Amino acid sequence: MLRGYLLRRMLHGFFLLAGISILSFVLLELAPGDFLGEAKLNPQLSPQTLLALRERYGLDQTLPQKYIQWLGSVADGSFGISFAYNLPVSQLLWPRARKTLQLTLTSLALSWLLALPLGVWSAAGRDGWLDRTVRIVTSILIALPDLVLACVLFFVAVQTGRFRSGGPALPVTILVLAALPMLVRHVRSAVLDVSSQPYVRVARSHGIAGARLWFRWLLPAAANPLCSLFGLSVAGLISSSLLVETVVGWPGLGPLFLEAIAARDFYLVIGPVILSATFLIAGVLVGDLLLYAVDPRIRIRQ
Amino acid sequence: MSIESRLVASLCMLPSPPEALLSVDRLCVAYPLEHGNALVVRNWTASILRGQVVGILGASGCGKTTAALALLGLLSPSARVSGSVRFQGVELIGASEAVLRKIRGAQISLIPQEPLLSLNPVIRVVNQVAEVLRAHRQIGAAECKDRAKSALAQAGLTAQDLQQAYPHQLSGGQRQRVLIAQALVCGPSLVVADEPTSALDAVSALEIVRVLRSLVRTAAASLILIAHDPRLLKAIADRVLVMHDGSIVEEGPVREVLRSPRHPYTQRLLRSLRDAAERPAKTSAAPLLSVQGLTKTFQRRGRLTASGREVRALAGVDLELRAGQTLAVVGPSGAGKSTLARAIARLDPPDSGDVLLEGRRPSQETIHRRIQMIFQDPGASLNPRFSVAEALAEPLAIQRKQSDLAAMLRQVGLPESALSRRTSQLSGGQKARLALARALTALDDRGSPCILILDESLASLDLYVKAQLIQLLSDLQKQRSLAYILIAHDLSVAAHMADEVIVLSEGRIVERGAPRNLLQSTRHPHFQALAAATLALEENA
Repeated sequence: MLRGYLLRRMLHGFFLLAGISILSFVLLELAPGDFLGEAKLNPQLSPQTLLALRERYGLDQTLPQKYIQWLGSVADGSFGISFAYNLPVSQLLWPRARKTLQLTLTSLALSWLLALPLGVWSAAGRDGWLDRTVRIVTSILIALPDLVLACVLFFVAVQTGRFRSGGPALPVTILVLAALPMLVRHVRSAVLDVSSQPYVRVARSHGIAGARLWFRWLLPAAANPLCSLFGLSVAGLISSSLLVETVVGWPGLGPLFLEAIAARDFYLVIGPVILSATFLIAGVLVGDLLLYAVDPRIRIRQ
Repeated sequence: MSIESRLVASLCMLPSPPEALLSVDRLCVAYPLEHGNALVVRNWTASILRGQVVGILGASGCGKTTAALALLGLLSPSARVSGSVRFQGVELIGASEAVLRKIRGAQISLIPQEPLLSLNPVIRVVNQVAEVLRAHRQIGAAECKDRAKSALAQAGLTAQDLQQAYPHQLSGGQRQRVLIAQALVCGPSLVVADEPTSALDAVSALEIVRVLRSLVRTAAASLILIAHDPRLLKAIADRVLVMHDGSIVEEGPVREVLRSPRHPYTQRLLRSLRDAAERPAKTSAAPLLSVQGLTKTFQRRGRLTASGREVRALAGVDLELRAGQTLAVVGPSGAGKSTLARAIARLDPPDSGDVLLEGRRPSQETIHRRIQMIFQDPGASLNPRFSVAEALAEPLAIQRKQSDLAAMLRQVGLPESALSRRTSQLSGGQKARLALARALTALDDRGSPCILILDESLASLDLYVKAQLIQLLSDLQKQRSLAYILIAHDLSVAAHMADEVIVLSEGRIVERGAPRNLLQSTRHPHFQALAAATLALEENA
């Protein structure tokens, strides 16, 4: 049964990727200008040369032609050619993607490991000092745009010299601070939701209390919405990561993506988009599997 | 042997005076309101001896459950508790959470009211029992689990796969056994059972009471049994306390109190139950509703594949209903009772078959004007943010009708002043009345007879409140020549109200007839078990 479930979800993911790729092609095509936009202004290049260049890069083709050609390149694993680097996109993408994954996976693990106890403690001591502090701090962090947060921390890092430049500590800290507040709030409210259930009062009437009550009795019961949140948190972290990498100069997908957009390097823009969409779908899939593992009501049906 | 030691020995031989395990002295529970306090429990004084079974009898909202929870310090922090509760010499009122935690579950344990809501849905039941042991005993996980298994077996849940199941895989009766095992696994000296059978059908209720009685006897524990059904108390309790409006109005040996009640409230309570049992039968002419060959099949879709298992909810049901008559539909859960009701009200169209109103196929609009349904939990069908007036006016707005809301309320015995209150502020009985009033406003009032479907609408109410509502329903039936379709698993209510009973099993009518005849001679095994259990409960009483 699990296999069928997995297959169905993967099929979903596949169609989703197809849709995303078509949409990105259309949007990019609609955007004004192309890779040769600046070259057109150069008086030393003759119109004939420009035409030849257009033909060489395949820019004279129609959108469906481009898309089909790109699909072929996906099949052979090259994901198209970068105009600026004159290299297959995949060669540029893989080392960068590894760097981005390193950041997002570390921050994902760290922020959930912090969010679970913080959220539960905050809920357990509702309206106590810890809960109030957590609520105030998370409100501030949620209100702060990721870019501002990244810039402030970058500034602090430069001033104090505490963070090794080029090391992962700074971007991971920024990412965790960006993702954590929302997670803590969700954990807190999910656990509080469950805490008003009759079976919690029954557990208390049996003398079950303290950490065992909150972590063994309540947290598993509250896990359902949190598993769905897991997938979404992957999405949030990836999009923050692209931004943070650019700010702190981490050689991940972010700077490459920005550069590709600025240069209208068509296939180099499509590559990171498809790749982050794949990460996101994988995250949601993992969330579904977690849900499957945690909630017997989904796992076992009569 | 010295004289002294002999003296000590002989003193020990003397019968000691019965020792109070729990003594409650002037216990009061109040909730602060905007103006003053709402006193829910007033000057509760009682003492419970070792090994005694004490019943607490009273209608809903009389403070029974509040008093029981106050004993364990489990009320919400906003409750103001005063007085004294001494358990084996330890004062519990005002005791620290640490002290209470050690007593709860180990020495005083609670069997809660709703077996369906009282278990954690994501933990295997055997682990939920083991967890209670772990909270009190310093023993390893494996031994906890072994002891939990034997506690479950003692409570009557012997099968391995049931012990390893999750709560949603168990029936109400089985879940109640898990809760009993949880309450008894640490060997407490006092068990408080808060209406442990109110959510169960007659068969399971009787079994649960038997299990509880034998377990409490073997463990020599005391039992406080909260109930609204005097028959249940008569079957198991030594003494009974009758509660009304937060106070104990009568106390004594159970047979004495139930046979010759002294307090007017007790007399009224017992009389209302008897009255419900004696109702005259009615007759009528041409059928108002006729249902012919109704079938309905649900597709349970498999994952990935479109073909799934088919579930036959209705397999050819025929029935007739006359104006002013009551038809009861009984049967086990999953028999198709609710599907039948929903098909008649055309909330879910049937696959085949006809529902005819006065011999014609009615339009959708006619159905809404002539057939109304009151759902299983009438309270849950009301939007808690609506005022009573808004809730009542809703069907009027849909049908573009005008009506006197106050008169509608009076008709169901609610005060006019309730119009401005929020529906969430009403009690369970009041909500049921409001749901009834709302269904009545939706029905056509141009004199043509209408049908009201009650889908276990009374099941969640206390016996006393239920009896009042049954009276109200029968008054309304006479005034407006309403026809009722009563969906129930509780045979006693069906027998008291209905002119005809049909028994549904696996989508078919397996039995039909007048209720009295049915109760005495039935052929279908399920119905026999149900009827036998109902009779057994009554005989015990």
